[in-house]
Amino acid sequence: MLGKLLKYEAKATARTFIPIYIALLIVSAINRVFRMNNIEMGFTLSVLVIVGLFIALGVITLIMIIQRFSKNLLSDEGYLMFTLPVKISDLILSKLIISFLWTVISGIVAILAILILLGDATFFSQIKELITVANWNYFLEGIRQEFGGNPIFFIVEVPIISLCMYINTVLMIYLSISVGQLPIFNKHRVLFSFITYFIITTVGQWAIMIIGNIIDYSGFSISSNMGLNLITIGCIAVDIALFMIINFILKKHLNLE
Amino acid sequence: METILELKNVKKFYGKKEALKEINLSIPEGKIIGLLGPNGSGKSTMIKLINGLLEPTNGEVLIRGNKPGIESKKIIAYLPERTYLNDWMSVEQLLNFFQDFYSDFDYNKALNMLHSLQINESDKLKTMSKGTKEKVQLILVMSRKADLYILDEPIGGVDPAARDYILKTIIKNYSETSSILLATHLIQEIENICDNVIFLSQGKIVLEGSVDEIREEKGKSIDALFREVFIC
Repeated sequence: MLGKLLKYEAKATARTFIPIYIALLIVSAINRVFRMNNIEMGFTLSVLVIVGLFIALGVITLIMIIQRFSKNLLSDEGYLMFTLPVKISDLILSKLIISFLWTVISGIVAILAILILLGDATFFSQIKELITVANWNYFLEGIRQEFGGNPIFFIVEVPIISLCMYINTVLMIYLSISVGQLPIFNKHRVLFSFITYFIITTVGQWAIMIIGNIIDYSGFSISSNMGLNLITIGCIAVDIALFMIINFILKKHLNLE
Repeated sequence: METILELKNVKKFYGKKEALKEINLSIPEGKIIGLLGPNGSGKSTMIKLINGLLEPTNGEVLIRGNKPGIESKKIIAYLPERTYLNDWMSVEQLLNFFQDFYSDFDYNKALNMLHSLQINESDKLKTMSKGTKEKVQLILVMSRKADLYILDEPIGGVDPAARDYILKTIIKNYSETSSILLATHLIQEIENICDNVIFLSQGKIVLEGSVDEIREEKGKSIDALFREVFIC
């Protein structure tokens, strides 16, 4: 059933993202044509459009994350979604996964846009020159010096931590919306969603600060494998906790109007 | 005859407010049951409890012996009062959606019913009038071979001709092993298709029984009785 939910979630959101991607790539191509033909005004204009599109993409991604959760699950459509024979955790998971999917695709499209804008023989040979064994070892050595521990841990765990932080951001939004729909906050859903978001992000930052201090005092330093492992584990644990709370609220305290 | 739905000592509080006060109810197979009551009587609460959209404060809700959950959702076809369909979908996409999630969905039956109302697969929900959307919703729900159909105000916002069509569809499409729970305040219309009725007032069941027996006993139509019982 999760697969089916993923399918529909992707379909529902593709209609918004795909046109922007297409627009980005087309304008990038146009920009390149202007550049190659030295049409300065066209070039400048299309640069502005591209910047505008990227900003729009960022804003729309955020809006979609919020809307897919609040509109599809917690307004009228919720009567359909919550009576489907699926696990509530799958409802949450499907939206989380698809939002991540679009973020990744957005990144790929951005790279494609850059290639369209700048890709030529010089560009590629410059890239080729960068990617050498010597540079890789230099990179590893740099990490070893700055970070202190085995660079492999760093290379593996930093992407994991980044992923966890992304999930964290999305789950905090979901949690705020879930709390805002509780019966006590009747009729002031949006307001209390914002208040909740503000509170949990602030508390989160304090928690990180306090834990950071504890780690300092206990003698561990972040520039060691153990410290990094703790951060990774902590991040994953927080994500799991957030997910479980959201699941609990939607299971036991759903408040469709 | 087996029991499809059971409510045992069910209470529901919203904070201090008691929306449902000690409800005991049992619905067998093969019946059309009218759930009647004014606004605020607890109809919506009861329906949400059966659908697993709410949890009871006390007591148990059992659908074929199971608490509301994935298993009960497989065998309940629910038509809520509001439009709950994704606006961006076309009729065809909706049909596929229902077919994907409900193994008891009869695609062709739904398609035929839609065609008979001049609704095409390529029509988008967005472009439909409210009445048409409600008909689409009803057809989708009645095209499932569910054990329990829960219809919340299915004829409320619709013109009289459409009402007839909807009621006919309801009668034609249920089987002997399933039951229909019809919540409404338009009693005159549904009185003649219901086997049993339940009168709900302020969270309590004040009257319950077979339509024929009640009519005979009280010597009046259910509609007239309702006006008496719920006099303002």
